[in-house]
Amino acid sequence: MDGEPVRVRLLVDADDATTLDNLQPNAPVAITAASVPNLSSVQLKGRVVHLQPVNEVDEAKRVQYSSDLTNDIHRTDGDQLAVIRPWSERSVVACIVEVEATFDQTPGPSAGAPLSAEPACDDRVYMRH
Amino acid sequence: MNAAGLPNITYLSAVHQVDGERVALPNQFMSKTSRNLAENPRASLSLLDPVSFSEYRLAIRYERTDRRGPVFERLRDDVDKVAALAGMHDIFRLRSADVLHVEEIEVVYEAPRPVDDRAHDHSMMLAASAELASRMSRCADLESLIDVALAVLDDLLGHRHSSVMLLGEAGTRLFAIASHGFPYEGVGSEVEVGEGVAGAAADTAGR
Repeated sequence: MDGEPVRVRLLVDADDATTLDNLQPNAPVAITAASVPNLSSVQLKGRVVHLQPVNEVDEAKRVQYSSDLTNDIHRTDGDQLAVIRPWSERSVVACIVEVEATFDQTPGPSAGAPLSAEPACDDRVYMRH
Repeated sequence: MNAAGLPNITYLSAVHQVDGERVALPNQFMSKTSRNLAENPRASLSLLDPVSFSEYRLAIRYERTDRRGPVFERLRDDVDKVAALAGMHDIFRLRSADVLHVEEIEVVYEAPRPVDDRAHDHSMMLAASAELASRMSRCADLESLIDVALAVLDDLLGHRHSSVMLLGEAGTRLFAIASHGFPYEGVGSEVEVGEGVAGAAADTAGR
């Protein structure tokens, strides 16, 4: 997060040509992020600023996120680590998104309700879009 | 995406194949998605194979909403099972089944698994099932039959934890008569039909 206006830096699958093609500057984008153990989820809506090559910090985060995601799925659903790991470990590019709105997406009656600026999830969130 | 071009994204617990050209999506909390589909029937669906973790993207077009009938019933059973596993029976409730036509399928990630692995697994399971039936047929009483069955499920099919529950006379509760692999024996424990994984399975079987 950069402050005002709020921006997030997404790490997007570098081999997903369709998604990368959609992420043109100023394109509208919806992002969902969820915690595997407790299903708490948020949705961010905004606009693409631009794509960037990843830096060393991005790469370190990718490794950490992939490891956390793999371990959480293994612990929560019992899938084998050897099956999850190749799926979760992918090369990425960075996509800067300017966030315009956030919504609760946790299963339950509040799903879809607008959120304040404070994130509703814990630290272990995994973003896809 | 709505008529103004603003996208919306949501998680789904499962997607069902209706026929060779259609899938059904469980509508639980998708009020925004439903509004968008009414304005713009085109959507994109990201699918993850829960066994291999292969990932696909489907271009789909909304056709209809079912609130009863076989597609709805199948999805409701599935949602009930997921709710039981997640301990969220009061939250996960199926409102309707949205049926969409599949226009295109794109492979996003193909799991590194040999094509014939699944056939090999099926063959192994078939052989294990035959061995299970063979050993059970040699049991002379119910107690040894259950003991053998649960042990073989563990040894040959990899089901480390199992239990056998019977429906009580009133038809509303299940009673455990044997268990295997749990730190506690569990015999005599009771579960309401419709409650938890075992209760949901019994409820489905009774329909």
